[in-house]
Amino acid sequence: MRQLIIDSHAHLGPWPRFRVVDDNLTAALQLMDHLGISHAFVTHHAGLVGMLAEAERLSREAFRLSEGRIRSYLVFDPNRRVESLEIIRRCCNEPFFAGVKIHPAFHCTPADDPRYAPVWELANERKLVVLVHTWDRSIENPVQNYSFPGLLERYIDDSPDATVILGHAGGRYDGFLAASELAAAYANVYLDLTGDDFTRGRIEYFVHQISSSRVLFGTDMPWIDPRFPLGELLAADISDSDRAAILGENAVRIFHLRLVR
Amino acid sequence: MQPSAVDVKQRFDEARAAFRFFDSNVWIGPWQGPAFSRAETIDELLSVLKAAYVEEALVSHFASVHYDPWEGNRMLLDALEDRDGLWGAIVLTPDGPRGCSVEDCIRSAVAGKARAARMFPRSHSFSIQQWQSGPLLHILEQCKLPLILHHAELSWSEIRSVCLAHPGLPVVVEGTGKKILYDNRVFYQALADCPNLHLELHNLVNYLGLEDLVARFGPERLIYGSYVPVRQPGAAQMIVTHARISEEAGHRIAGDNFRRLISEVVCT
Repeated sequence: MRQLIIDSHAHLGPWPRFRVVDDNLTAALQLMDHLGISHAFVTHHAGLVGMLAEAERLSREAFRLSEGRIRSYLVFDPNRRVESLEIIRRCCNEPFFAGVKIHPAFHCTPADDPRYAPVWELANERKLVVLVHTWDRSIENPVQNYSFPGLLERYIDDSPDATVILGHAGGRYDGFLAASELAAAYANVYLDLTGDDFTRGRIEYFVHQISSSRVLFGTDMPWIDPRFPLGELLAADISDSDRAAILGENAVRIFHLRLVR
Repeated sequence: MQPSAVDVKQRFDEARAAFRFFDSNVWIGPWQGPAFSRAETIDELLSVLKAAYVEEALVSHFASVHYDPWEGNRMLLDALEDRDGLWGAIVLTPDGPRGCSVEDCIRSAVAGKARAARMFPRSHSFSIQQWQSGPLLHILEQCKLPLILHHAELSWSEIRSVCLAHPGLPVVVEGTGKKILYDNRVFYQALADCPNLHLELHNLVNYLGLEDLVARFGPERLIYGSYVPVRQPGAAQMIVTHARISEEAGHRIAGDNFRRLISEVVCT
């Protein structure tokens, strides 16, 4: 079995909170080549900060310039519902489109808020992938409380035909447990391994609790360097077949990738 | 042709073995937080390090942080006795233990297997500034005993002040407990200002950050550490094994930089 490494959760574009060494597409593609990552599924930062049309344009451009290796999630912004829903509806059958991105913490809107209802209805109707930023409850950063995995249960329960990725798998320990519980309860729920908490034993726990078939490799670049999550996964005490599933086989399946070998 | 998952894993393991890692951030004893997999004894720890192809390690005891610094140091040094390849990082406070001066305690510890010190100003409620910690920092500087600090335990201004006031003291900052990712505008300037400032890797996760740091400051002040057993050591190993830097620079970061620092400890 030949293996591709597929990044299910990354970003493109500048971010002001810290110094990003190089946020351009060429740098990302070069690093992907260096590490053997064939495809990346990204959210352009422009979409997170309300520049929805610009994010659509840049996402199309990334797909074209990367010759199809970069596909994009388009953001559903609960504070710009009409515009974001219109863009997602219009783009969701196009080749550059990977799925919908929801970020409850960044948009200061709890994951169970009724404002998300239209995009979940659309995702269920069109069988879309929905990537949700999830995190643990936090005293230091309370806006992350809006992204606690358990808040998503109502929408997941109502959306059996959507494919739901819990980004960062809950972010920290209690979030990891809550995300695992959701994935164990709903067959359309996946966990991705992005984030900065490479807790020893967490991958083994996910594989044991919900099976490797619903865990996805992701990098979160250009925030996190891909070599951290890849090193974590390669060093994890799991079988070769589990590792292959997480590295890329699961992503091939849920994103319907047609691979040229 | 793409390599298989087995090939990718095998190449990573071969690279880990070749880089002869010295892990500067390893802990024994009971950790306070939740964990999926605990390794609290020295034998459990050695098993984790062996699986990660780590050749040598600098170890601290969680009891030194969460229970009593000096009792934790004693348990640490007892556990490390007769263990090849393992060295100790003792935890210090400016007031020292009862019945022994701080200086005597440090010299005694270094006569054993202590090769670095840690200080926790926030958790142990003291000031790192000169008016309180100056005398202790002076002793460490005389001994060239590397001082390891968590960035969440003090401000970058305080770290910079320590480095400037004690230029002969190697200072290593670890990103434990809080994202250090967001601090890079600050620590770049601190690295430029302070030749004795070093950064440990386990949470230095900035995208393309390692290559950028090496290009700007050289590889000499980057130190591999994992925060085992809390973190998976493979994460920070791959940023070294797959860095786009020279092989020599990679070996320095993987272990030779820290080996050099502890070889320069002189505490007679």
